[in-house]
Amino acid sequence: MAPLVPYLGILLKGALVTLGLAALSLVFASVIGVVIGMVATSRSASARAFAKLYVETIRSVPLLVQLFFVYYALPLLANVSPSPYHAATLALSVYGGAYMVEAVRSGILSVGTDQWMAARSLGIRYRVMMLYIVAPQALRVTIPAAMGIFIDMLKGASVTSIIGFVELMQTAVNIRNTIFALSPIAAAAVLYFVMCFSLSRVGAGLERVLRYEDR
Amino acid sequence: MAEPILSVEGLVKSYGTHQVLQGISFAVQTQEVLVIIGLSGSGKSTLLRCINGLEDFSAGRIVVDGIAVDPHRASVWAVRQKVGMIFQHFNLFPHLTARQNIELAPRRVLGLPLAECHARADALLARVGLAQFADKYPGRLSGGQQQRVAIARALAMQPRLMLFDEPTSALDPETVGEVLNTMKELAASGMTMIVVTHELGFAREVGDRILFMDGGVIVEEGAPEVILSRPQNPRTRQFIQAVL
Repeated sequence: MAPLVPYLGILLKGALVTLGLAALSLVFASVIGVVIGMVATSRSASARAFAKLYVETIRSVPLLVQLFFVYYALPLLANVSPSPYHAATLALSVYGGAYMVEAVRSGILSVGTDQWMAARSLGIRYRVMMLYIVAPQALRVTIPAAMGIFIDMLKGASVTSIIGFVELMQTAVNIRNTIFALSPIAAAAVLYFVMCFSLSRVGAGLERVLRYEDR
Repeated sequence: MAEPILSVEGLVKSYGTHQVLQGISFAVQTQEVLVIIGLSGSGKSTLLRCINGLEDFSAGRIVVDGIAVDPHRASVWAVRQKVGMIFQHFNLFPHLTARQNIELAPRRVLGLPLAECHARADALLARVGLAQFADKYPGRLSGGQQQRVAIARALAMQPRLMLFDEPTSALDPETVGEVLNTMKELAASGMTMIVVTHELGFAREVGDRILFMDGGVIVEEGAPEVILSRPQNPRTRQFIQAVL
């Protein structure tokens, strides 16, 4: 382990880069999730079909393939050349977004039609109903699921090393190539575990806070 | 006779080939309490949902306080503000306290100031005998208490007409009475009400008129003592004997 010690600082920095990438992508994924999730529960069948197409397409193609597509195919198709960081953020956001749509959709559907009927019978329209009645109840289902998605995105961020983005995994590989030992990879594993396990605990805590049945 | 607050003419509602309502016509006058009885599946709940535009109908005409009900037009929102509805399963918002349940629509639909909404909610809670439960969540209340909060919530919008869809069917027997008492008080205060119920005692005591529905049509209608004691139609007779 001794040869690893001088490199612990940059490993930690790599972990922070991973966390930052996943967090920023989570923000975009959440926006996608809320917008397309509402489309996915709308009354229009064609709008729902569009949402389903997005979700099923993204979920059925590996993140790695999507990453290649964004980084190598986008310059050819759309004449834009994203940096590795931008490509990683875009791919991870679109990928996480598809799962987030499902989390938001199941959250909205968990609020029964009896609530919609009660709201309408009081003269409460869609926007107010979504904001004050559906969203607070949907969050109980959506937030814990979103934490799981965040964890997946954080682990998925390791794939972005393939297009030359230096995050935790690529940092560990670089150190390994310098000191010729497996210890940097083991250290990366520990850092991944610490981050993911903590997030999972936070998720469980949020789940408890969001319960109102026994208030 | 004055213009009725509600008139229903030739109402037809079908799901595919099945006709749930096969040409229903009746009118309700202001301050009248109309009780609708009938077997489950006879179309009573569907009828109530058509009246405040929660459900579409196939043919006929419904007019509430001068507004034709059409779920596809913006005017349906004006109808819903005039019509309060009470559901079999209360349908309270579980993430809000009793007071917040009552305040939500006055605050977000009518845009009243918070203090006024508060005062209105507390007055209504007192009226239904639940002043001390203002800060309780629905999950902490009995079925009867939840239904009384639901009544207060509907009253907060100051409706001209209240619809009750089997308000006591989901309750434990010991809490049925408190809800019926609240409804009696409401009727005595002059509220116009349509009540779908199997509580024939309530129908006799509070109802001005009873409609008996079967198979999507009104089989018989009349004063409670006539319908309950001397029904003319054999199907009405059969139903009343079965319920009593």
